[in-house]
Amino acid sequence: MTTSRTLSSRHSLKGRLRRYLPIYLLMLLPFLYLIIYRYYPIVLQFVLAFKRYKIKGGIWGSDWVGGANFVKMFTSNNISRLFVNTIRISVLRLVVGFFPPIILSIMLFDMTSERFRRISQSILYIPHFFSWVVIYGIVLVLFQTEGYINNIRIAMGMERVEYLLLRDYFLPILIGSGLWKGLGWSTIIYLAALTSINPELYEVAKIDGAGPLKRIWHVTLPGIKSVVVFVLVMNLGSILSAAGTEQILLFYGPSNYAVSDVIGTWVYRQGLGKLEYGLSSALAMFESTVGLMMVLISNALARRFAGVGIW
Amino acid sequence: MRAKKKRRGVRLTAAEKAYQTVIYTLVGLLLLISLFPLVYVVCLSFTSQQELYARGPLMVVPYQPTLRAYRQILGYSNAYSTAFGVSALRTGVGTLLTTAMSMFLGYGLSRKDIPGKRVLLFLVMVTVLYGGGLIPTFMVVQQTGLLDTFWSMVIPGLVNSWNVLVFKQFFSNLPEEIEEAAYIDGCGETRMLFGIVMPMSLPVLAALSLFAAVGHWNAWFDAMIYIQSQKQWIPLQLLLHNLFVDANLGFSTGGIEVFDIEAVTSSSTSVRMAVTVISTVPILCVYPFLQKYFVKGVYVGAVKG
Amino acid sequence: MRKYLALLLALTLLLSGVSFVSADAADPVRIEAFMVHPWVTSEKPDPEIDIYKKYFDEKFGIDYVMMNPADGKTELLTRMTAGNAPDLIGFNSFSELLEFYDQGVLIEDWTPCLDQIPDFTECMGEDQIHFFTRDGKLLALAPRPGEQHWGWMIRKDWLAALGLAMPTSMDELYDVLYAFTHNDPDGNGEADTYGITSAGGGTGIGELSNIGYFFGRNEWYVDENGEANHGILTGDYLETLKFIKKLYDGGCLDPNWYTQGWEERKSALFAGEFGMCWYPPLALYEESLGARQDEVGADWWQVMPMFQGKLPAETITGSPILTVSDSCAADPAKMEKICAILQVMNPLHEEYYQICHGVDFDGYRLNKLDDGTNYIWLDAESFPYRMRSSAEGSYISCAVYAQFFRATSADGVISGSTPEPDAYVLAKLAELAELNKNERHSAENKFLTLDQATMEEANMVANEFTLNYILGTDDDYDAFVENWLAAGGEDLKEQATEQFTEWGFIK
Repeated sequence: MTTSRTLSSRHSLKGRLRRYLPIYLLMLLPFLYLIIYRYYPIVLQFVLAFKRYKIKGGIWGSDWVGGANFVKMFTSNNISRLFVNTIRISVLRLVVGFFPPIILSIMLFDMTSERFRRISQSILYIPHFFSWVVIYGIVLVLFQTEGYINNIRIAMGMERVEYLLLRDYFLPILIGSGLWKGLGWSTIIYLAALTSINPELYEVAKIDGAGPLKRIWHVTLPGIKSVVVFVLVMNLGSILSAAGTEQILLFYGPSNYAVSDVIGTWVYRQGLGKLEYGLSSALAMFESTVGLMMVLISNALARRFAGVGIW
Repeated sequence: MRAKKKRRGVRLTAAEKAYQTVIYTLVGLLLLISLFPLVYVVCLSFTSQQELYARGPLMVVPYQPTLRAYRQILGYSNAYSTAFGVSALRTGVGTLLTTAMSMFLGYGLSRKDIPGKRVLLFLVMVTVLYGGGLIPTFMVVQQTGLLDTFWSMVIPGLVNSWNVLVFKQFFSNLPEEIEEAAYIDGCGETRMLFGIVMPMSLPVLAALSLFAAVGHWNAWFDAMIYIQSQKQWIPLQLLLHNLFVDANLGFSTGGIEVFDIEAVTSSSTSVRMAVTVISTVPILCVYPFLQKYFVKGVYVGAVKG
Repeated sequence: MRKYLALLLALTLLLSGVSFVSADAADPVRIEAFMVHPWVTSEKPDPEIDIYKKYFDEKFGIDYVMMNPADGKTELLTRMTAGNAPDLIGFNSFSELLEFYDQGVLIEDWTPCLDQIPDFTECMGEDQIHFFTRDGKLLALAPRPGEQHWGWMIRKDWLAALGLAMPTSMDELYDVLYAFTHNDPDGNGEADTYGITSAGGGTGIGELSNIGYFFGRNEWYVDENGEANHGILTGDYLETLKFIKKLYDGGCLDPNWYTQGWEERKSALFAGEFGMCWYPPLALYEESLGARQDEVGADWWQVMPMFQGKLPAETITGSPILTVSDSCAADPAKMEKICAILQVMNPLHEEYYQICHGVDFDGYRLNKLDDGTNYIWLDAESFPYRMRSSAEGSYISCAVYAQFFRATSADGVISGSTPEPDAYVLAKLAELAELNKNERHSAENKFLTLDQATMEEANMVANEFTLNYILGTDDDYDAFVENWLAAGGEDLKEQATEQFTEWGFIK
């Protein structure tokens, strides 16, 4: 196919610059934004990570402390606990949240009633659109001391359980509510993949006498394999940041900091609140760097095993 | 979504029947689990203390619903209506700006022969992969004078690099013939974008705008760290958060308010739930109209990307 | 034409010069006072009706602005960082002040100003000045040390209704609290009463921790061996926890005990939900009447004597702890005004009673009694509930301005609603005297300034174990002590020993 850009001005650099001038103008603001609000913070991060910040000197006047922040990061008990919690929560989220969407999407796909499926989807997508604050509100009225679940327990003669205060319940409630919110929505990508499976494969399988479970095993799963791997690997890529700081900030409290305090929440509480700018920046640096590495690695893995990647 | 054809003339085996039963049961159960909390929250917001005493704590649907909680909210102060307005304003302005900015950048990046494309693309990619972090961003917001202002809720998240890439991808995939024809007709780049490409991109625009809008409506954390003394800029979700977390909110006996014994001994739960309901109503209202857009949008974004 | 222009120009210059000069002379010095943790958080009154601001402005020739932030610490931090520091700052604790001092944003040393505020420092007291001095520099000022005297208050009408006597042992106390919960003391046929609650707002067990005073000292102190010790280490804390757990198991705590906040529980308290609380007696009466706007709560409460253990020691610091920002310290005009204010804002001057107690404003009158006590009373006709609140704007604004300088309970002021103290007031004072008859611990722990971060870490461990113990999910006290020591308890012990030695409590 020949391009019909025959006019020479289209090709020359000057010509292109002139032609795209209005576009450059349009891109100016977003570009400025990126510089100011994305790149400049990175500069600050690099600088602050090696300083001990004091209001008096500000960013540029405070003292350099070399790698002291990083040393503290790796040797302090309190900080190591943050890493443990962050990874633990991320991994749990990944593990718990991995299979249900797949199963659910297969069930929805295999449903014979079109109408029921449509209604189900409509309902199942709703929780995704609620804010975490609202989710917390729901959890509150169900699980608080005089919440619905405890009321049921009392009615059945059992004792109240302080779900929201005890450390042992924090993780189940956190991850469970996260699952409740995201389950329906996560099925979208799998459903898209499912619709792309050649229906003839199903016909053939049925003719061969395969029951529903066998069909799933031999037709459905292989058909969505690449998407499954893609999702898995992409989740791995964000392992350090997927702890869900926003949700944890709402759900945690001093009574369960030991398991609930993650990097993000610590940075908010101690970093912002107590002016520990240096240490917080060092943490941010570490988090971003590891995150970058994980994304690169997982992207390579995704390409290898699933044939698709971000780029 | 391909409709499954009814299997005419093929007898459903026992296994098939069982399978369908299992599916319907499980999905049905899931629907209950999804719906019950929502229904309970709404019901709680209309439940009066007396009825709770009378019928016991296991009640769900109030037979004598009351607007007491809602009246208490609107009567307590302007805080709630103000917060609602702030959230609405922020959603409107923020969505418009974000979508526009991302689209402009994405369009520019999608032009195959635009000078500087490689550099620009690289710049955008970096921001997807590496972030400054909470404190550095906070400091920049502070230094640019946005702290404690309405704009601190709009500008720091102005351009979502992912969306830029989605736009870029989508625009790149548009059929070249139309663009070629326009070029020949002497169409400039601006007209190309606004007159031709944009109309062709409505699904993506709609989907990304929708996500941006939902994000803005549900946002609370940025307001929490940026809005400090200018309390009038508190968005609705942050107000709701404060209501949950601050055990003292709404109970000030600092002399000015009339001491309402019933208000004291009645639970604050119905008030909290009323605010919860109010903060989800806009989304639920708009939801039915948007279903088709976001599903399509996710396809475009994830599968084609 | 040119002539006119020249004339115009000259006129303009003249006028601007005039306004410049007069502006210089007329612009009052702006003093911004910032209270980090205000105890009155209501809205500031309109400048129009703000008689207290007018008072400050006229008396000192300043533009006095009071800041009443809801989240003071964060706001202060932000303002400091932005270079927009307030002038006069009031902190709740010395440790908090030190946090900011370390950031280099506060005045470095008050000593040069001391000769301008002799009356203020006289009321401050030598001990306090010594306490605030580090490396020879005076870091802060504060009013005369004093605080409201807290103690256990119990519902005497419920005791009467149930035929119970004032408890004289822990077992009897438990029985009383149990009865309060389960035997319907208010006789309304509803199970809506509870023995006690905690109002910790989800961060701790709140006032229930004061039960610890029955069993020893849950704070750092010097024990009989001359060493730094703590209730957690001696096992007294375990006894405290056991008792609280007993209360919990017996249902004597209300279901919201842990998550309830202070304000929320105050409302419930005045409505009659609890039988016992840790409160200052006078404040309890006044606040209850003011909140209820009736006399029903007036005779509910009585001080419960400490049948075992001792009350906490009295504080050695006043409140709030005052200082100025370094930008203010560098401005001689502002410092002059601030010293002028401080010099008269103490109990030796009448201005103190005007601002801190509203004397001569809105019907408060000062009556110096024969024995020298300052008696302040309020016209009962205008304010029938013996309460110095509910007057639109006046008390509120007085409190807003007073919280900076008022030496609570240490200025020897008693209040009432009749020209001479009547029987009611005298009865309440007698109750307070009863409270103060109880023995108090020695005050060495008040001299400590322990590292905040370490304390928070250690407290975190303690709070978590406390909650789990009470709820019954963890009872390994020894493991807890080890965790607590590791999380910071050990460091705190070292710091405490060091400081006790410095102050001379440990030889």
